[in-house]
Amino acid sequence: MSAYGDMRRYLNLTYIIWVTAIITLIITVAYPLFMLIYRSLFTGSQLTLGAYKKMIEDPHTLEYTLNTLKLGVLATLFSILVGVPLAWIVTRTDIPLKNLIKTLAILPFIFPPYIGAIAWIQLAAPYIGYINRISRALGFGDIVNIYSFWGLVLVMSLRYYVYVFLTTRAALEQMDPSLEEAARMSGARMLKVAKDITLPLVTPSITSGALLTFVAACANFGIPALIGERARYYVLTTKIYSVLAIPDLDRATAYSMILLLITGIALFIQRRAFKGKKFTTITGRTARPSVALLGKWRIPILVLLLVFLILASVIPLISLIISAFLKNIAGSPLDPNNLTLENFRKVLFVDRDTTIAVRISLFSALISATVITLFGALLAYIIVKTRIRGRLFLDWLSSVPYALPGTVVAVAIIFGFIKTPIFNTIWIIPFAYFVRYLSYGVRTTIGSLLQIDPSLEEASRMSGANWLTTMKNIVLPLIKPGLIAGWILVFMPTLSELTVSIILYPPNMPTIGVATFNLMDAGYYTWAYALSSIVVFIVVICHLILRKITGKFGVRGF
Amino acid sequence: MTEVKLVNLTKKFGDVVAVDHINLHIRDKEFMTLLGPSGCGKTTTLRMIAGLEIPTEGEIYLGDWLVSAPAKGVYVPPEKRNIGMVFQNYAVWPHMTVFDNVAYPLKIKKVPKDEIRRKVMEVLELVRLKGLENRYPHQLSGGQQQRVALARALVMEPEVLLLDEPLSNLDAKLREEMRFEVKDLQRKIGVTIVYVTHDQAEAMAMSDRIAVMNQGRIHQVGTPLEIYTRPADAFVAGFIGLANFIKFDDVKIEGDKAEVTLFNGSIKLNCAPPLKRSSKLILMVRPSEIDILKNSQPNTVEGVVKRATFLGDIVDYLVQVGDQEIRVQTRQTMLFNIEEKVYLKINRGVLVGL
Amino acid sequence: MNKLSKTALAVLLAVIVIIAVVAGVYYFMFQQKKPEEITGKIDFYTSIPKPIAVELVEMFNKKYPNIKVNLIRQGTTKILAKLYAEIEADKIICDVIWVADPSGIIDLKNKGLLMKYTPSVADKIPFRDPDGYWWAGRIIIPVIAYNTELVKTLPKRWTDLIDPNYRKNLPDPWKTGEGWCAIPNPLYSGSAVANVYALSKKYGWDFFKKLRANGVIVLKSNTVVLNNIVNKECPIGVTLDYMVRKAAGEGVSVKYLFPEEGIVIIPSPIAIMKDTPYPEAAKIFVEYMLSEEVQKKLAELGVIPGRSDIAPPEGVPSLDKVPKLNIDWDELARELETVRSTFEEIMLKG
Repeated sequence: MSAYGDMRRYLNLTYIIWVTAIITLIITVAYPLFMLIYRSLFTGSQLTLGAYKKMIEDPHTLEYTLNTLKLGVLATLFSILVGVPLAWIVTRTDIPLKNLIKTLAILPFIFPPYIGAIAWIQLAAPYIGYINRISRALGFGDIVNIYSFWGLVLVMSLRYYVYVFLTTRAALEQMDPSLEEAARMSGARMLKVAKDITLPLVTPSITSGALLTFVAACANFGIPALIGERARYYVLTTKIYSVLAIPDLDRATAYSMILLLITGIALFIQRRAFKGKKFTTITGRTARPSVALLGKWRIPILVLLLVFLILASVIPLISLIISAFLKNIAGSPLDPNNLTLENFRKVLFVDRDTTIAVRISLFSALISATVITLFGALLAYIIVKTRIRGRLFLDWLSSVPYALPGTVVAVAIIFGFIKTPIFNTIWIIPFAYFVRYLSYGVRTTIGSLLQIDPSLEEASRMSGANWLTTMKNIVLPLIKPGLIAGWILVFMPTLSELTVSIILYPPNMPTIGVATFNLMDAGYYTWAYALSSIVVFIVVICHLILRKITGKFGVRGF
Repeated sequence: MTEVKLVNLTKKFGDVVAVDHINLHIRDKEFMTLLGPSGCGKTTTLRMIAGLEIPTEGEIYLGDWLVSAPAKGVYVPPEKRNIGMVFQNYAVWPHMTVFDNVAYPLKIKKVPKDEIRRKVMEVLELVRLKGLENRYPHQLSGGQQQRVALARALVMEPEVLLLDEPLSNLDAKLREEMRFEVKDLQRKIGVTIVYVTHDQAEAMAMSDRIAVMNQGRIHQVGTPLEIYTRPADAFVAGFIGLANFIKFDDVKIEGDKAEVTLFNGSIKLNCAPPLKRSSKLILMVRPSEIDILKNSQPNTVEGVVKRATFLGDIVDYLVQVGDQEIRVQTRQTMLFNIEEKVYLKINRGVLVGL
Repeated sequence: MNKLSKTALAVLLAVIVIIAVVAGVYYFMFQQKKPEEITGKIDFYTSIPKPIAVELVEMFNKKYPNIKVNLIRQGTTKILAKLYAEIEADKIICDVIWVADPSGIIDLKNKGLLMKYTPSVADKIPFRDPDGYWWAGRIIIPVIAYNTELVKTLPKRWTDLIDPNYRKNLPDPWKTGEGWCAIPNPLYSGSAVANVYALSKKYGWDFFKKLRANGVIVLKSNTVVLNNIVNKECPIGVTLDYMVRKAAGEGVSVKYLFPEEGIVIIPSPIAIMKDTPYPEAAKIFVEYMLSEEVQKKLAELGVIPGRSDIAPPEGVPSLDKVPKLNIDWDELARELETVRSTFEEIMLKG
């Protein structure tokens, strides 16, 4: 076998893989989106611009759009208010217990957003929420009603501030410390250094995180569906869901296009405007950044921070789990007669919807995680290790469905695949998950592959091994932990997913997320809490496993 | 009076002792260089003077002002010390123009606008950057950015100026130019300078005095000439310039004179007694202080050439004498080949402790 | 075989194994039943609450094991929407439909999509389509329900719900704020449409404006309202009689009352689609739903049966003597959209 022959066959194989990948992506990503846009312009085969006409005629379009934007903007503002100081305190001061704070800070991220909404509902519902009951007992009367615009903003911000925290923290950690030291030598005090030097240089990262928050807040379904409906605050995602039930496809398309536009613009700004920023402050130096001494403020600020973080993330979850053991939610959790395992029994073994949901979600999550990991690894390999033209397009294409709102992706899938045999069968769910979460698998494997210095593979080839043997003996073992981590990172969100499955699930075949949502919707609160607690439990277990494998906390959403 | 006094200064990072009880007195308007290999503690010492690191033990005085004394609970933060500092990678702020960078310390002090303008332009002229005040750092070369950093440090009219390996990121030619510029500036302005470098040639060229450091300790403080001609110990001798360490047979020390016998009596040499008393002494001889001869002469020793490298105006030989290898650098145009028998004559030597 | 073909073979093998594993998992998790001798297949669309619907279908399956019944259960509006989508696509799957109120069925009748059929017990069913296209298999009544632990002074009239003074009789937190009383959403629930329509006829749409101003909220369905009353989140709500009856029968502290102005008696119609491929099976199904067995079962479950010769559940007063709010079902069928959108505008707009 000549070297040239080997090379040619290798190129052919890679080419075949590349073509397969492109075709798969076109079918699963480009085609449904194209159908969505097509449907917005054509009804049947006539260019009626039906969706756009509906957009203009419908008196509510403006209201829903503005509501979505208002919610997005305010959630972003609060996220900045929380995320930036948190990041600064964690990277630039000598506050103790930094690891604990970092863990608590990203805690909201590992659970699906609707869990947070459910947790806050049972904490802050009018009349029977714990907060109101406690404040009544103290004589203050009812003080909160989660079913309000501000309730929405609260839950949204507490979930998505993590984006801002993470991007800001990364920028602060990577910034060249001598820039701040020079300012101190020039006479500037700690806060002035932060204002004049640190802040301007970190602003691009803050903005990047803020835009991610904005997109996520506009695209979320679970939180406005559970909280906003009763507050009579309607946004595009919840309205798309409602009108699809009628079914009013024109309106659904119209709202989807608006949502697509909003998130598309925001993402475009986020990717372009901050890529080639000239403030290249990232250096390879491992010097530690200068740290401000908090002095006598150390303990008070620590206490304040911990209280805030625990109140924001831990308390809602704990009270959710406690409530899952209640017979009657109006009763007291301290009353032993009110405690029961019945909710869990009902949910896991008795109720048809929930028992089948658990099986469907397990099934879908297992399949999509496995297929995504394999296919994603394939794509990642092409993107990282080959020089085929168009591989960056491959990367971009696979990441589109994750960047877009899940609701829009679901609607696009309806338009693309309603006439296909998989529609309205159980297979539509893992298929939709594949489309939406493929980029997870691609991203994590790309990360693992990039960590392998090409010289490792080259040494193997110099030692006489061909491409396949090198893959088997060198590359695969090195990326195995990455692949497993990637598998878990897809398994977790697909197991508990709501946004896409609520729109696509076939009759009588709900997923765990859908079943939980339906239980809340129908007022079977304690059952919903029980199912949610099970989700929380599974997510925590998966995360601990992930941590063991990767040595650091895997983050949902990145 | 702006002298800098370090008293028993110590810095520990966990169990690692980076700076080990050093004492140093830097005089007013002096150019003092902390010289040593990587990890010797010179940068840590500098950062403690700046206030960017807090000492574990010891005291730091700026003039009469005690700025750091952990035992007494004294710590003046860097922004209050009025010390100028130039960083190794310049640390010029990318989001501000040259003017804004240099003006920053004055803005902090709330100096009126027109005075800021005057002072900034003055110092920019001093560092030869006039005309570039509206540029952004990414539009400047490395050397220009370095001068911006210098200007920024000088504009606050500090009494002490700290420089942390400021020239190491510049290319060789620029580095040499900048050496003279910095030295010139110091003379013009009259500021006390503490300079950190691992480059021995740089230290020699610029300093009034050098403190040679290794593993957290100061081995010797002296002028470049002193350090070169009378190194305190083997480390200093080896660090500054090339050195042969030759075992001797016997030494007789009388007052400020010493006589050394080498190579079984073949050579007798008068040299200075060691600067530091030590039980283990060795004779340090610079390769340039040895003549290499074709024929035997009184007070020479026989040897065999093991290596000969022609470097242009110098020839570098490695000569085996008995069980020792001696390096010789000579300007003689006579070339010796490998395995040739030669005779070495030592002109000057220094006794140092090991 | 060279290395490359070996690779291709390995990949192919791996793919086959994966497919086999996936198929195996699927089969294991969702075991398909063995197909039996089936003499008919019914797609039964209904808005009857799931537990009851499931029980009725199971009873039918026991009696007629050769007829396979596919139960599709959703709220009235949703189930009708599904049916209309099928009609539009010209691919009607539904064979038998049994929803909450007649308004949607009337439209189907007018479109000529229903089969005219007279069950054997026709003379025992007082509420029916005069032309014989649908029959009331059960009677449902929107009532005011309340939590007996929380409400000591009972509301007496529909107008008590818009009266801010009535509220003052409730325990402390519910005296103020929004959400002390809940009504179901006519956009989802057929019975809710009927009740809203009747009240709008009697008191005008102003009634609902006042409802909202008085802190009454809209929840999705009768089931949700009842759950909220049971949960003690809302002490009072409007929901369906049989749901309250069933809960009370299980010892839950809820009760219902008939408001003084009157109640809407809703005949819950069952009908057969004209073009069903299994007309005989469909007739058997309807016949069974109207049989003594099923009707008695309904009464057992707390539902007022459609047959007048079967005893209603315990405690139900004779409906002749109770004041009623009368509805013209044909008119409602025509005005459906208007009723829904007016309600939405008043009660649900943000």
